[in-house]
Amino acid sequence: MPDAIRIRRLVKNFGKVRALDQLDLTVREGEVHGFLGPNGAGKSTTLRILLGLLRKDSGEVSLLGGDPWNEAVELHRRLAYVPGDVTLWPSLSGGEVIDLLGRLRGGADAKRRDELIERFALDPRKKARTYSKGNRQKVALIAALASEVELLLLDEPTSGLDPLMEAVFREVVGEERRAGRTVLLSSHILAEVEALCDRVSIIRDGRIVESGTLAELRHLTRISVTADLARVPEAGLPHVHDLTGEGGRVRFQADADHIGEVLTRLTEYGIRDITAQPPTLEELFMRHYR
Amino acid sequence: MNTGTLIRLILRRDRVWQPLWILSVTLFVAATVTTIRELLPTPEARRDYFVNIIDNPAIMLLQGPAYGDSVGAAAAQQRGAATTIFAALASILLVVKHTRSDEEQGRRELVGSAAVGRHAPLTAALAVVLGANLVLALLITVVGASAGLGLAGPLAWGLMAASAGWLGAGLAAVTVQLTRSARTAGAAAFAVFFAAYLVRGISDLAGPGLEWLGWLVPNGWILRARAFGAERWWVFPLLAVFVAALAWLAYTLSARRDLGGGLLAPRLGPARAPAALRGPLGLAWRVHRGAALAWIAGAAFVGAGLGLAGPSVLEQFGQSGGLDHWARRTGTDDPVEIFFRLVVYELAVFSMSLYAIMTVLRLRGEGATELFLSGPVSRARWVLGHLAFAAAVPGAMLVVAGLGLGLGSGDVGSGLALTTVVLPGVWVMAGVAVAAYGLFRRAGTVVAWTALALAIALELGWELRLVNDQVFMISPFAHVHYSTLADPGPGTLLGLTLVATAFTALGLYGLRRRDLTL
Ligand SMILES: Nc1ncnc2c1ncn2[C@@H]1O[C@H](COP(=O)(O)OP(=O)(O)O)[C@@H](O)[C@H]1O
Ligand SMILES: [Mg+2]
Repeated sequence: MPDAIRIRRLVKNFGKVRALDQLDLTVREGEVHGFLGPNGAGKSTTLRILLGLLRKDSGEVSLLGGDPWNEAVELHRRLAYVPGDVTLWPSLSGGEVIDLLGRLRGGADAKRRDELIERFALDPRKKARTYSKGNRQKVALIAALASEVELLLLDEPTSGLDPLMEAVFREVVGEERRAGRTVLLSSHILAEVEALCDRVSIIRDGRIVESGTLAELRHLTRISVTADLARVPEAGLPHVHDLTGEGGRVRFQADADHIGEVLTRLTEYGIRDITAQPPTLEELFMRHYR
Repeated sequence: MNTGTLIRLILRRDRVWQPLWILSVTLFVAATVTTIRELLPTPEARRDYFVNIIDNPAIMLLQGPAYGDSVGAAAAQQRGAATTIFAALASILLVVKHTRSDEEQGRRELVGSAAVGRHAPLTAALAVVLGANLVLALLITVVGASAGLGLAGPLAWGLMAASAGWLGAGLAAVTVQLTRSARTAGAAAFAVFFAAYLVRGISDLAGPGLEWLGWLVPNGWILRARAFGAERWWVFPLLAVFVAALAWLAYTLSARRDLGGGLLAPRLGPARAPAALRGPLGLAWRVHRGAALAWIAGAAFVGAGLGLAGPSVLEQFGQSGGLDHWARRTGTDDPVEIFFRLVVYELAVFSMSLYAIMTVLRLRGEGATELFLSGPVSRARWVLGHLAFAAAVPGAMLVVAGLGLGLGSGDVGSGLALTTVVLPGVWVMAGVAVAAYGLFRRAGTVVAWTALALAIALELGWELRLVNDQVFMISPFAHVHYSTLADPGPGTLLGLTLVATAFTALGLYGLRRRDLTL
């Protein structure tokens, strides 16, 4: 299958700041691709280059088989975008914004539009000026999801939504996937990406540090364990990494898919107290920069 | 957090902007005094000058009469009114920024969650703006006194500027309670200020018979403080009482509304877009229509007012000795035509350019651009949608003003001919604004306004004979000027239109090549 997005060695500078540094990214047609990274990593910059809003400094970028800078207008008929910080026209109602954006692309699916408005519990008659951040985000999301396009570019689309609406969002993205649409979903929330995405690329400081299916990245999801043991274990336990500690207090990382085995082995050392937590995104990155 | 903390926060957020506007106005005063002293060194020269200009209706309308023949009186006649407008504009912008803009953008909620009284932001904004205007009054007094103009005159001038600032702040304090939109609140406050200013102008223009009209509006009290004449100090306490009343009204209204809400409840919009809202042009119409209709109504009001005031003014004007002088400069000896040419030119060219530049620069301020351009819309189509209004609305305003003028004075044909001729000059300014935005990104705003300031400076310099004809011809306005300098035939108008188009093309070329950052 051809790639919906193919980026090679992309560089973008803002003055002296290098926002993207030799970035590679591949999104295959029909997949939901998670674009995961902390704030300031370069997610929005990448999306804006894909939209032809920003100009790359060097590298190759291909979007739906075209050049996003030179063929922006034609390509935009085939995609929809939800910005990270949605600003609307203050004097237009939400319904008007949704229709305007839909008509630009030659008319949205009216039934789908009304259904999405209902599911996201949006009052489309309110003026954009009076919407909260979450409601502005819903307007942009409904406009994007109701248009019949091949590719959705979503920049942290749930950052203003409450948990209920986040659940609706997950449902809808699931439907989009089944309908065969390609989605690039930027996020800084690991759980969201895990729940929705076929493949994930992790960006940090303008570079992709990991990319693959979740199964391939499984080795990344190590669990941090802190335990108080009667006896200090010798080094070299299987599936245990970075073991440190003094006396009975130890800390280590365990491979998530072998956590059961690890805990069984640990009982031999007399557990007095134990906590285990999945690694934060920060911890994942730390591993790449040590 | 209390009001004191909020005041410190405002001072910090405005640490560049506040000193900048205060110093600019002060420098403007100092420069005027120096220029007058060099150009018109003797009382005789100044009296001669006044005999000439006193019959220029545009000057009476926009600046008002002189109250003496000293250097200070001449300077205050020339720039006193302008300092009041600057102070009012800056004060309105500051009050709106720290009250309604904060609410509109949700910053007020951050502050509100820190347990401040509901009126604290308004109190803090008013305190800062009142204080800033006091500093301005003090600086003008110091600058004037150290230029050897005595103490009383400069103090009166300083207080005129400050009280106009206070008046603006008071008006803005009220309008921000009424509407949810910071833009509308600011525009409404300035519209009220400027309308009152023109009422005073029409009163001065019409002479003693209508003097009472000017006393009906606070702007009349300010401009009639007679700085460097026999100062009327009592107008300042009167103004203080008026501003206090506005502030009281603002607090009363503020107590009756919700945070983020306005007293005028926001109406619900349609759930579906009307058929016309489909592309860049339909969108631009929705974005600009409110302001456009308000400006067009204002143009009709001013045009009809001038047309109606015309006959009584003309009687005086026809008898005055200054007519010959203006007949020579304008190349016609019909007093009606001279009168309207001067007034229409001054009013039309600058206010229309102001509108055109503001409208083009909304490209930059429009946050939804990113969303809009993610659709299949080229940057050029998006810009041209907005430019259509920057170009067409001044045309509509000029036609409406020309109709008002013509109906008032009884000659519609020449009313229209007088007003519409300046349009291509305005288009050049709109084109310059597109070029500035396209080529310079953030600095574009400054470049566009500097271009207008330069055109105004050339005009003033030419009037004071500091700038010769050739240099003045750089300005697009020189080609649609009231004087014999201009040759407003089809060739000139076509030429200006081509220049405007070239600037626009340059701007689109630059925009096509650069990052679109907000
Ligand atoms: N318009 C801009 N001008 C200057 N620097 C920018 C601009 N946009 C982004 N940056 C910088 O580029 C880097 C990446 O930002 P961004 O793409 O917004 O990150 P993310 O979306 O992952 O949070 C940051 O260091 C940010 O400060
Ligand atoms: Mg971002």
